[in-house]
Order: sequence, then structure tokens, then C-alpha cells
Amino acid sequence: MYRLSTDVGGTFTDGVLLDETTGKVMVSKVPSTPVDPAIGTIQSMERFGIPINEVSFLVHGTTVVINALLEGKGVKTALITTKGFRDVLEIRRSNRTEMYNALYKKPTPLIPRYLRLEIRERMGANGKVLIPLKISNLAQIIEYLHKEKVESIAVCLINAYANPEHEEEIGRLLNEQYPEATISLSHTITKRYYEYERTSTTVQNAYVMPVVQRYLKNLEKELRKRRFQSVLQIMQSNGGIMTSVIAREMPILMVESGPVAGAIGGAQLASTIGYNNVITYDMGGTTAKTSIVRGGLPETSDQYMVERRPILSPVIDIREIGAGGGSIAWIDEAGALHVGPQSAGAKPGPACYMQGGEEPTVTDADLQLGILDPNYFLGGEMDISTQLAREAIKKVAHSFGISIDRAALGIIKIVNNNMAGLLRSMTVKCGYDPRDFAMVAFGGAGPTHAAAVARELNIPTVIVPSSPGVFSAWGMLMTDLRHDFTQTYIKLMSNIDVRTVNGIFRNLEVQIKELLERENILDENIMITYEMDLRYYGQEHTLAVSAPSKLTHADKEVLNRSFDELHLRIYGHNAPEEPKEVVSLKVVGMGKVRKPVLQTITRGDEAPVSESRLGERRVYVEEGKYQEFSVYQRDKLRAGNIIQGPAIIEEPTSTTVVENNQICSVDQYGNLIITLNHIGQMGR
Amino acid sequence: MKKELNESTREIIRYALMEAANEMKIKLIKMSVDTLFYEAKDFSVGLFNSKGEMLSQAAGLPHFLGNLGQSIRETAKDIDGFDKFKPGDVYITNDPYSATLHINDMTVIYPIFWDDELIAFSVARGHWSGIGAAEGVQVVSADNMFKEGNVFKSIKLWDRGKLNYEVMKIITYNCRIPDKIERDLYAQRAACYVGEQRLKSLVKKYGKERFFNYTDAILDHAERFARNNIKKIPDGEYEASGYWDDNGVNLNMPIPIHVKVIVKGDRVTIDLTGSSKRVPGSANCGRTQSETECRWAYCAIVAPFLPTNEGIFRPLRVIIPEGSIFNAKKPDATYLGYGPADVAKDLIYTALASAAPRKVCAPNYGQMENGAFYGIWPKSQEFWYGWVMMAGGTGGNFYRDGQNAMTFGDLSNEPQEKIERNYPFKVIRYTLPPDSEGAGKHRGGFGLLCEVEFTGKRWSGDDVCKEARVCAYAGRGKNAPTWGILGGHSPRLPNYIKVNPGTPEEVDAFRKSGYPLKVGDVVQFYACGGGGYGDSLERDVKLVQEDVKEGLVSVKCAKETYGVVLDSDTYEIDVEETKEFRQKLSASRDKGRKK
Repeated sequence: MYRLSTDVGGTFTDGVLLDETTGKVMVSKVPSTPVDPAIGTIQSMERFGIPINEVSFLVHGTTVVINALLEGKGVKTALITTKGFRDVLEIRRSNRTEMYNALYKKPTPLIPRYLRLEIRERMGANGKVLIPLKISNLAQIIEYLHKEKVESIAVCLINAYANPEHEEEIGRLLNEQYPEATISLSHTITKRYYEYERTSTTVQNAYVMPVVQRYLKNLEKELRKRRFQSVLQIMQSNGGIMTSVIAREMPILMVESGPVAGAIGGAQLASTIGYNNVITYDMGGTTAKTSIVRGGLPETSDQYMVERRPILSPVIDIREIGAGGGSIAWIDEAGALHVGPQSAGAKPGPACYMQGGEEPTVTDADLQLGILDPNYFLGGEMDISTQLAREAIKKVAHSFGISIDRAALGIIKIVNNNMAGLLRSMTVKCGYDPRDFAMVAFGGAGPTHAAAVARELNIPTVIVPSSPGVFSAWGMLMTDLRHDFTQTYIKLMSNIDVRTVNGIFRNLEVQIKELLERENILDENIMITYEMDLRYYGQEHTLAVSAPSKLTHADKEVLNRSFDELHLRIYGHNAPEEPKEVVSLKVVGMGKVRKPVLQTITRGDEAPVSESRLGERRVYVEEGKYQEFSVYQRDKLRAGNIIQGPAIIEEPTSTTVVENNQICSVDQYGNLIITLNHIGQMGR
Repeated sequence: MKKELNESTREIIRYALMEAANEMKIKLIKMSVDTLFYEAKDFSVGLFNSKGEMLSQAAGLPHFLGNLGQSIRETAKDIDGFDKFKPGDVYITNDPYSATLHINDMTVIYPIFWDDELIAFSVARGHWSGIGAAEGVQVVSADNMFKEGNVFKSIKLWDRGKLNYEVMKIITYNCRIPDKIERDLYAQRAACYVGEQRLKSLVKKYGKERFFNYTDAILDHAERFARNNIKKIPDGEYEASGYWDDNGVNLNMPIPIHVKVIVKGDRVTIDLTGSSKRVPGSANCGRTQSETECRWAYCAIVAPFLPTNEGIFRPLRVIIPEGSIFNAKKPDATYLGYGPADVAKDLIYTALASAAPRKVCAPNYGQMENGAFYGIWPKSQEFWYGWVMMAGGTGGNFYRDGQNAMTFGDLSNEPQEKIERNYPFKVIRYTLPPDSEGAGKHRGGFGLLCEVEFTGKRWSGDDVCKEARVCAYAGRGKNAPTWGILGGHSPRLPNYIKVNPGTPEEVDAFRKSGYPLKVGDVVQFYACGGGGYGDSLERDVKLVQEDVKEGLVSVKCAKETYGVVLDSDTYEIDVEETKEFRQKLSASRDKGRKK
């Protein structure tokens, strides 16, 4: 049997296959197929030439959701909310963080006001109906939605977290009377109060839902055609995975689907080879993403923003900008050169792909400068045209009256600077010194730009894993199944009913175990943990304390004490005499899966064997200055090899650049470790 | 920059100091128990050098941009010099004449030492929901300081690490929410502690002398940055006049505010001479606070995006004469003093509108409109209180329209669902009122309408409170509405607050302390939109049409204020009629001006 992961990016779709019997790992990379990304996904699987019905475990990561949110390419969406509250989405929390910016602009709401509709109903904060739902109101609304040809509907009513009856009723009627639209009910996505944040989360879910449903439906149809028999797993933002059935209803949980796997893979790889503090740097065709790993663990948060719009769901803290190989270089009205965030994507792709793209992109510039080899793109499987890249960059060159090489270099400098800014926002601006970190660089374009970006930030070490172009997909195989279930339950600790609490725990546990069983996880590999979110009465913020599976009266005191201790440890003080309040009960189920073990490679001398040397290439590095780069073939390199920059190391999924004055060594697993020529602490 | 310093390390330290301030902020949010702290973020935290000059301050309220450092210097003066600070000492001050915005702003001053040498300060200020006022949470209609609460000026609360609990007892015994006050005070000190730890780790890493050199370099850089931007504004003396609603006693007598901005080379002087004398009511503003509001406008014009520090303000001088409303003296009442000071802030923008048209925005709704509700739960005898924190429209600017329903800083509303859980209220409406904007080529943002009903019921159903009180206040009402610039309009309706609007029992609650509410009473808060920027007849007709489609501008107002004629059903533009009508409006306006 096989375990397989596929990761759809804006430009390429990657696959990693683990043969469960031999432990062998194989990789694939095919162009993404934006019109129907399922095609690319299937192609990436079929590359391996194995029967799909022998795949026991399939994880899928996709940027479909994030791209739709970033590029504003969701569907025409409407919001139904309680009378008096249609503007909550636009008013937000009424604050701004740029205090002195007199010209501050809020993000535009995803749903314009004329599609934010109010319905007469009202739920109380205690879950009691204050005003019954006025069904006749809904009939008018549905008529209006039909007229406006709305494709997706978000329903978020005031106090629905306390009682979802009205949302459910609206959901039922919408399903009956407007089946062509997809429906997102706020309480099914999050049962937390805070109407703005919940509305924002629901609206974003609705905005992308039809896009995701079309996508998954297609993919599953194709999989069934090939007799796929297991369950399709989708990578979630929280670093775990979920089944596609759930993903269809809650696409918002897959916002960071692919990138998160890169962070997990980066953390795993780095700690295996002895680095605990790592910046992961993932540059694909559309975006560049970064995350911070400290002490071997990726940093996480409970709530995050995409384009300043809040999403209430746990996430591994990833930041990204629109800077990738396909990012388009353009000139603004004032004559300044910019790169991205618009991307040529997979279709038409960079000009050099010969698919009709005419705009100059980062990849075109890399090709023009001599960094990329026109004859070895995707290991020679894909033809690209130097001539078309040149033509595209000419536009920029002409507009500034400079040479094509200089224009290409300008594009690269700008995109590198943008990425350095991104990394700075995760390190310097968080008070971390980049000199204390190592960078793990991956994604198709990551290793190409890593050395320059690391130099900019004084990062002393760059690690380029094997097959960096499919590294996120590899990270997915390093992920355990994870299901989080949370139930809001607010009561003073002294007043909680032990039987009720245990009942809730059992109920959540059963749901989780059922899921894990369907996912072929044996009992002995299931790990269930229980937690309670507690706070001092009167306080707003909670801390999670682990709880026993079966709570007794005596445990209350134990929980109180561990909360006091935790509070002291995290906040530096506590108040043991204060009453504690339970806010929510959580059950987390992990299904441990077998993971690929890093394979070692053959040992060699310090000097690489001559077959690895492909020759020399002239690269334009500075205004009017060319340098000869030695070119190597990565799969011919041996452990212990040392390469002096300037050098280019080629492999099918990526191209690594080692700059002048940088040294690259190959470790026992075949990772490239680039040391920058300056003194600094290593991330060890 | 000195030779051994490099720019990248300087930037790392700059952002590390910013992040230290942000961590202080997070600490305060997570540890505090008052909703004004953890939800509304009505506080400010920052790090200062050993002279009390700001090194970094977290995003919070712009109202605190200058007065934290001044609080340090004032305390040092009171205790006879900086050398009197000892390791482990913590001082508090809420003196509105020398340090704070009003009495409720309790400031914790925490000196930081390295080998027994004073190297810096960590400061955390927050607005306390009560510090022993004559009535409820706060009093906005007092005529002297003693009705507003207790003042603690430069009091040493921790002496070399040991809490002076006797003083703590005096503070807490004299207010209505003793437990909250005590816990929030500990939270403020803890936030300062976090700042201390982060700052010391930088000193450890870079060495004390280098750290000092770098922090000096950071301030110098900010100063250069500011001076370069000042040079871009043409030299000149720019003036503007306006009004604040009233003197606090006679609510129908607007009082004058005047500002003069002198730009000369790379220096700016702001002169508040010509503004009203001190008033009998609570609209007096302490000198420190008045300066702070001037700093705010100045900063928005010369360095809006640079992390703020003292260097930015070195080129600025503020002149405030004795006896001015902006130079309050004990025992003046000061609760609303930031209102007139904020008018001065917007007058600075107005004065500079033609000299720096791309840098300023038209005035906003006036940034002051709130209601504090309070009462007692009969069964538990618990004192409860809750807030409606309003926002309003911001002014238009050179590039675009103003923003809808937004405050002026990180001050956030309390979620309506939370209001209903915590207080005996039901929120009826929370919405953008149509036609609330100040018209202009770039119009102001739309305002905010919020209506709450006092239900008396505790959400859990186990208690009923039959009477509550509200302390409501706003500024820029009918006597002194906000305004537009460069030909832009005022909003059609000024700010108001009413109890039971549209009923025979309607009461104007624009400025009420402790107004009693009975079950079923409705309080309506209306915050207007922002002022307009430029002539409304020059507004793009498509944008007017869009506002009409969005239900934010009526067909009637589109015609009357923007001269755009639309079909009332299809919202199609009648191009011919619009052209004609705009010409007609323009002519009649010219005629009006000639008169």
C-alpha cells in the first residue's frame, strides 16, 4: 500500500509518494490546471504509475481558498443577518491600528451593502427567542437573491452562538427554495460569540465555498473513476487534516492548507538535523510564505487575518505576500517598477512557458539573467523559451531606457526586497534577530532566491532540502490526523455538573473516534486528550488546562490548582483565592500515522565527483557585471561534498543559487547547507 | 550615525523596542479585568529612556502620544530628581494638570535599572472605570476636580519592590470597583515588567553603551526624518478658528478655539493663543494633554508611518498661554478637556489644508461620544457597568472618501453580543445612518447609529435590576458641528444622544451624568459622518450613484448636495439634467458667497 500527498499551488501541483513496504519516497511535479485544478492533481498522482486503489492514505493541500480570498475571486455572495445589524461586517470593531495615518483605509467588505440583507428575528444572549423568525421576510429575500443571481449565502444572526435555531431554520428554507446557492451558517463554523469576527469568518467561508465545492466534487469524481477506495484528506490551517466531506462545508479551515504543511515539514526536518530555531521560506509560483519555528515547534494562533479580515479558527502562524515565480512586473502611473501581487499563475504562466503569457515575470527574469537553464526546466520535461522571456522584459527595459539584463536584474531586486520585508515582519519586527535563525528554503523558486534574501537579513545559514519544489507535499506526510472538537460551556468551576461535563467529553470523543476509524487508524494509534479553557471569573482571556478523561469532584481542585500554576507561569502572577470559570470543553483526537524516515545518501569526498559538474554559466549579477557560475546536478552530489559559490545546483523541481563568497555543503541526507560569508550565531 | 553603528542593527533595535511595547500591550490585554482595557484598549504603554524621552509606544490611543514621558518628568520633579528613583520602585500618577488626559487615566511609572544605574522607564497608562467620582462610573458635568474623583500625584506605590498596601487600601476603598482597580493595577505593573525584561535583554545582547548609542541614533534618525518632511511644507503662518460646544455650565454658549501653525524651514510652532479662557465646566485641558493633541496632528502630517518616538517631536514647539482653556489649573474640572483639544487638532489640519493638501484629512465626527451605564444587581449587590463606545465617520482626503464608522486609534467597540451577555441591555440597532456624511469631492465617511434598550434582565436569568443610570456625553453637537475643508461640507446632522427618541418622553442626553433609566427605556446614540474634502459638485457622478445603490445616500440628497439627478427606481443617472442642475447649484452657491 502507498501513502500519497498532493499539493496544488498557483503554478505547479506537487506529489510525494511513500511506499509503505519499502519506505521509499518518490516525487512528482506537474503544471497546475487553474480551470480545473483536479486535473493537475490527478496528473501528479498518475506520474507515479501505481494503481490508485492501492493508495491507503491520501492527503491533499490546496491554495484554492487563499488565492480566491487574496485575489478577490470568490463568488457573488449575500449576507442574511438580524434586523439592525447589516453593517456589522463593514463597521468591523471600529478601530484602526495605524493611529497617525490620516488617510487610513479599511479593507472593502467582501459583500457590498446592497447584498447585506436583514431579517426580522431576535435571539437573546441566553438562547431564548425574543422575536420569532419572520418567514415571510425570507421569501422576499430569496426573490431578491434570485434577481441578483447570488451564488452563495452567509447567514450570521446575533446570538446564534447561544441558540442556532433561527439559523438552522433559515438554512433549511434556503436549501429548499434556493438550492442553487451554497449556504454557510455561522454556528456551524464557530460557536464563539463576537458577532463581527463570526460574521467575517462566515462570510469568507461563503465567499469561497462554491469554488471549493466545484473543485472537490470534481476531484473525487476523478478519484472514484480510478477506484480510489480510501478517504480524501484535506490539510487544515491548524496543521492537522480533515476529510473532504467536512472541507466542503468549511473551506475556511483550509485557508493555509498547503503552506502549513511546509511549516510542519520545515520544523521536522530542521530538528532532525539539529536546528531548533528556523525560518521557513516557501516561494512558489504565486506567493512567498514564511513561518517561525522556535524550539522545534511552529508558532500558532487562535485567530488570524487574511487581508485584515479576521478568521476565527486555529492556525499555524504563516505570513505571505504575492511574490512568486509567476509574479508580474509592472510599471505604475508615476513610472515606478513593481513586482506582484498579480501572478501569471499556471495559465498563461510566465512568458517563457510559451502559453500565451506576455507579461514579464520573476521566472522570466531569472531565465534572462542566466540563473535558470532553458534546457533543464522541470528536469527537461518542460520546454521554455528564452526568446519570449526577453520579449516580455523588453517592455520594462524600453520604458526605463536600460538594457534587458538590467531590467531583469531590477525585477529580481524588487521581488527579493519584498520578500526580505516579509521575513523582517516575522523576525525583526517581532523582536527576533534573524542571525539567531537558520532558513529552510523550499518551493520551486525558494532555493533560487534564498541566498540573496538571507544575505539581506543576515541569516547565517540556508538549508535546502531534497526535492525542495515538493517540500510542502512531503510535510503533509509528516502530519498526524487531527480533529479538534470544542463545545462552549460557561459555568463557575464550583457549579459545574460533573456528569454533564463527562457527557460532553464522551460525546465529542465518540465523534472523533468514528472519524479516525473511517480514516483507517488502529485503536492503538489513537490518542485522545481533554482540555478545559478556564479563566478567573471576570477576566476575558482563557488558558487551556488539560483535564482527565473522566472528571470527578476531586478533580475540580486539581484543575483549579493547575490553572493557578499556569497563570503564574504565563502571566507572572495568579490569584488562587479568585473563583474560576469554565468557558469551553475541548477534545483533541490525534491519529498517529507512519511517517517517511529521512534516507541517507552515499558519502563522497569534499570535492564533488566530476559527473556532477555540468559546466559553467554566465550570470548577470550586478549592473554591467557578469560572473561565471559553476553548474552542478544535485542528484550526483554525495554527502560531504563542498561547493564554493558562485554556483548553481540544478534538480528537477528547483534550482539552488549559491552566491559568490558563500559555501554549500551536502549533509548525510542530501540537504544543501549554505553558509553565508559572515560571522553570526547559527540557529542551533 | 557613529562609525561603529550600522543601519541594520539600528532597525533591529528599533523594531525590537516596538515589539517590546506590543508585548506590554498584549500582557495588559490578557491580564486586565476591565472591559475598557482588554476590549476597548483605552490605554497606552511604552518604553522611555532615562530622561523620559519616548523610545517606543504600542498602537493604542493617539491621545497619549506625548503625556507618558511628561508623566515621568513630572514625577521626577515631584520627588526631587531622577536620582531618587530606586530599583523596584513603582510610582503612580493621574494628575490631569501635569500628566494625564483626565483623572481616570491612571499611569504606572516603572524605572528600569542596570547594575543600579537608571537606564530607562516602562510606563503603562489605562483609563479606569471609576476612581471615586461623585456619581457612578464618571462625571462629565462637574465644575471642579473633587467631583470627578481622587487624584494621586507621584505616589510611590511599590517601594524597592515592596507594595505599600496602605496606599492601595486608600485607593480601592474610595472607589466603587475596588477589586477591578486592584487587579488592573497589578496588570499595569506586570505589563511594565514585561517591557523591562525585553529592554534588558537588548542591553544584555548589545552592551549598555552600544544600546544607548543605538537608541540615540534611533531618535536622531526620526528627527531627521521629521525635519525633511517639514521642509516640504511651504513656510508660512497658517491659522484657523472654530468652536467647542459649550463651557460646561451654560450648554448653549459655544466657546472659541484658535490655532496658528508657523512653519519655518525645518521647524513647526503651534500656537493656541486666542482660544477661550479657562471655563467653569469640565472642558479644561491640562497643558500636557493639549500639547499631546498638537503632537498628534503634527505626527500625522510629518511621520504617520514611522514607529513613533521622541525624535519626531524635537522640531515641534507648542505655545499655550497662562489662563487658557488649554492650560487647566487645579481645581478645574477636566473630564471633557480633550474635546476642545481635539477641535484644536482638527483646526491644525484645517489651517494646513491648502499648504499640505495631500497630508491632511477633513475633520472626523469628533471622536467623542460614549455612554457608560451602571447599576446594582439586587441579589448579589454587585455594582455593574458597561459601555457603548461610539465611532463615527472620518473626513475625506486628497486621495479618497473618509471611512465609515471608525474611531481614531485602536479604541474598539464592545461586541454587541458581549454587551448583551454582560449587561442588562438589548442592542436594537448598530448601523450606518444614510445621509450622515459631510459632502465633498471626497465625502466624509458615514456615521454610526446605535440604539440600546435597558431590559433590566441578567442574561443568566437569575437577577433583575429595575433601575440603571447612564453617563452620556458627546461633542460637536448642534452648537459646534464638525466641518469640511477646501469647500467640503459639514455632515447634515450633528452628533446627538437621546433617551426615548420620538416619544413624548424624549430627553436630550448630550451631556448627562447619572441620568436615571427605567426598564424599557431606549437610548439612541447618533455619531455623524466625517467632514467633506473639496467641492461636492466636483464629485464623480458614478461614485454618487454607487452610494445611492448602497443605500447610503438618498436620491434626494444626491440631487440637493451633489447635483446628481438619478431615477428613483433604477438609479440611472440623467446625464443632461445632472449637468444642468450642477451648473444651477454652482451659480446659486457663488451668489450665496457674494452676499
